[in-house]
Amino acid sequence: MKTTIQEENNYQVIYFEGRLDTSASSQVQQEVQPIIDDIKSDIILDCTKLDYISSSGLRIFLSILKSAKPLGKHVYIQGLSNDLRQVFTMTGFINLFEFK
Amino acid sequence: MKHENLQSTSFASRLSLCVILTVAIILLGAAVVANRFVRDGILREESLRATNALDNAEERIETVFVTVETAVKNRTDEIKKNLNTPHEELYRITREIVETNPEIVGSAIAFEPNYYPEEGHFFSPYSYRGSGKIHSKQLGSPTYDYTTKEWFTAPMMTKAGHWSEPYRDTGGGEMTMITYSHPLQDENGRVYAIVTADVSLEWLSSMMDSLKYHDRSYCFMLAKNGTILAHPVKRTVLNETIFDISQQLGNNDLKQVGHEMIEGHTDMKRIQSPHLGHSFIFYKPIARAGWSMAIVCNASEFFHNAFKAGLIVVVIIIVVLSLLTFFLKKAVHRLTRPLEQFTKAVNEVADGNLQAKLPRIKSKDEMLRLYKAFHTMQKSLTLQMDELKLVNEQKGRIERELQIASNIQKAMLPKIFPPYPDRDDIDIYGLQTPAKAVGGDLYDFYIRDEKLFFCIGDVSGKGIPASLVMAVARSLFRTLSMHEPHPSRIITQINERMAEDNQQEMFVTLFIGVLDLPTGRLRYCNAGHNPPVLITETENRKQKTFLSCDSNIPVGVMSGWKFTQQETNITPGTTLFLYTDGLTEAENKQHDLFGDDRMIEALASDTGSQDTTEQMEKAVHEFTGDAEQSDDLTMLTICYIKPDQNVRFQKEITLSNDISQIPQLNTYVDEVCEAIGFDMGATMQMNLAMEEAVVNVMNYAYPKGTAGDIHIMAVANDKRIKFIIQDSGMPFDPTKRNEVDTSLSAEDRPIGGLGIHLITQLMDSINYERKDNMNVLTLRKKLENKD
Repeated sequence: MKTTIQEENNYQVIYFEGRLDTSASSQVQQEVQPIIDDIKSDIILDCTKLDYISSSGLRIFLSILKSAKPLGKHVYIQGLSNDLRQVFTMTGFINLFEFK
Repeated sequence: MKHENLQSTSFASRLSLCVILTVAIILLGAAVVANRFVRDGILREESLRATNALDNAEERIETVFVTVETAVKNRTDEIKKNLNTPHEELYRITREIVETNPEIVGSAIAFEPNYYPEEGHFFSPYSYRGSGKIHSKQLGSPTYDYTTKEWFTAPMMTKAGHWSEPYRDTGGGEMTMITYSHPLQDENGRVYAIVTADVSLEWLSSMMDSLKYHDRSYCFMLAKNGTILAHPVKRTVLNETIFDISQQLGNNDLKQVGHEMIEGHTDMKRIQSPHLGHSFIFYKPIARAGWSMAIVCNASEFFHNAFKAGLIVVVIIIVVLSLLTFFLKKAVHRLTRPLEQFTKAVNEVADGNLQAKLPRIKSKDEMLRLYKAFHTMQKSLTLQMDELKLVNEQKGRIERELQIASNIQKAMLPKIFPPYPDRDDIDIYGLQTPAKAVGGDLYDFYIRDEKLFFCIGDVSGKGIPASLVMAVARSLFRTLSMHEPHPSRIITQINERMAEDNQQEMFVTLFIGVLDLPTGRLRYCNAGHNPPVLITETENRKQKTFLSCDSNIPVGVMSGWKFTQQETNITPGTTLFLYTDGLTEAENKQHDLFGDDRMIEALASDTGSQDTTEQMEKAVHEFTGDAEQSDDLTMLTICYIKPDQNVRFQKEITLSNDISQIPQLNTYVDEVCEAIGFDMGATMQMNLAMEEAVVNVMNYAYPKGTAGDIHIMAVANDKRIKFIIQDSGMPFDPTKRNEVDTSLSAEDRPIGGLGIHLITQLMDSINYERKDNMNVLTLRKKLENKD
């Protein structure tokens, strides 16, 4: 699992790559924690190369959203595969996030 | 609507017929009586007429007899004076007797033998009429010995005048004659001569003919011995007697008449014979001669006029009857015309037109009363129809509502059978026949977490109130069992809710069972319901036993009751048959109950749930026959089937209680999915579900810091794959975690609870059991591409 954070066009873009399962989640959590702690702009969660996500991964997504929203910032998700989109649908997350 | 045509038997026709028949009978009766009187009258008149004729004839005959006798007697003195000149005077006297009396055709003075010795042995001067002249001769001769003749001997003996019997004279032409003989006596009284006068009876015939006053009537006369003296048929005269004739005709009546006539009776007789026809005979004796005379009249001729008169009367009767018929029909038709109009009106009313027009009645008779009654009937019918319409509308509304209630109730019960076509471990069939449109029985079942929740119950009472309670009980069962796997607790909670406000004192007998499908563990609680029947298989033999049940009170009777729970293990192949008392208490016409024994007997042991249920229904219907169903009949059959043992694939893994083991789990699931042939998407879903399940165990079953193993086994057959996750940690039932509300906004969304939600979404079923101090979680997924 690899997580890359970049600033692009006034967006903070987080690239997820590989499998975001429970075993990987604590590491990912640590890597995104600086973003959660300091939200400077709208955030894009890029899932183009994300193969898999479990509920622990979803919880990370939710914690980012929960910290961004009170600041009036948007959290966008882009590049979500159909299989993963189904997981978002099942959990109702499809209603929480904005998709690019 | 079709109305019978009453024309043929109309009142008018019948009335006319009655009157005409009555009049006809009276007229005919009168005619018959009149005819009888007329006939009697005619008979009396004819009788009188005949008597007169007979009297008249007798008188004439008498006159002849008297004339002849007088003529002879008047000459006796003259004869006596001239005895001395027999040749001159005595011949003259005989000649004069013949000359002066046209009735007398011959006269003789016959002396006793040897009175005049000079004249020889016989002397008898005799004069007789012949060829218009009067001839004289001496009668006696050796060839004609008159002293032997009756006319001579009879007066000699009696010394009195004597009339001979009629005889046929062959001397002077064929003539019927009688002879009057008068004796001449000397002073000593000795008879020495007989004076005779021969009288021809030819005139009798002509006199008889003159007596004939009908064309076909005739007269006849009989001598003393019945010999015919006079008769239209001349050959019979003196040749035959009336008895000969009656014998020839074979007529006894005629014979009888003959005897009566000879005996000198005067009478009338009716004679019927084929020869004579219907005739009347009037007869009368002629005393002086000892004869009898009769007039025969033909009856038809006799009554000819009466018949004619009768014919006229009949014609008059017919005419009168025809006229009567004509006028009566007209009159009656006019009288009954309103009746026809009433009939028409009634037919119209019957066809639904209550405002049918009634005939106008001017007379103040029964017709007017009928009219008034009719009018009243029309008014009250209209009123009642309006009322009825209103009532029907209300009734229809209630019926529609009842129908809707029934539909709602039916919709509440599981109605799609088989309910789980995809499952190979359970086969269920339920059936309900309410006694009224809506019933108070309930049954329900559903599968949650690989557990079959089922119930059957019977609400006290029937109809809508019972159905309402049933609906409440059923929804309480559904709601409460959703989070509670223990039947006793479900029932206890239902009882608390229902006992709370139970003003109608309604209660429910209720059986709730929870069957853990993977293990066959059956937990149940019976609140006063009939114990279900278990059909078990031991050593290939089927056994039917009642499920042992504690005696709990029915639900809704009393709050605070602790319902006891029971438990048993059933093996695959076991059938559970649940029912309400509508089955065991079904009555036939003799009021016998179906009963437990018949039920057990009728219970099929080798068929599927539907056949078992329907065979039982058939058995109970055969038993009750035509008897009305008195109670709701509800049955629920649950067959716990042997799962398919055909394991196609099996793979196990044991993980330690560490999140870092997740990639191994991931690899394991990938391998399983590949072996089964799942595509990438399905494989990802399996991975997700398994990860969530295993992470749950790691997080909750094993408290932080404790170590333990998690054993996972994947088993697949042709239809489905199941993952069995076992751990020896503390009891933890993930299925009891509250569902997450996926509609909540991000702020309200709790962080936890997503995992179990995902599992239930991704898998077909999730089942938890605590078994042998282990948590056993079973996840199932159907192999769609294999169908």
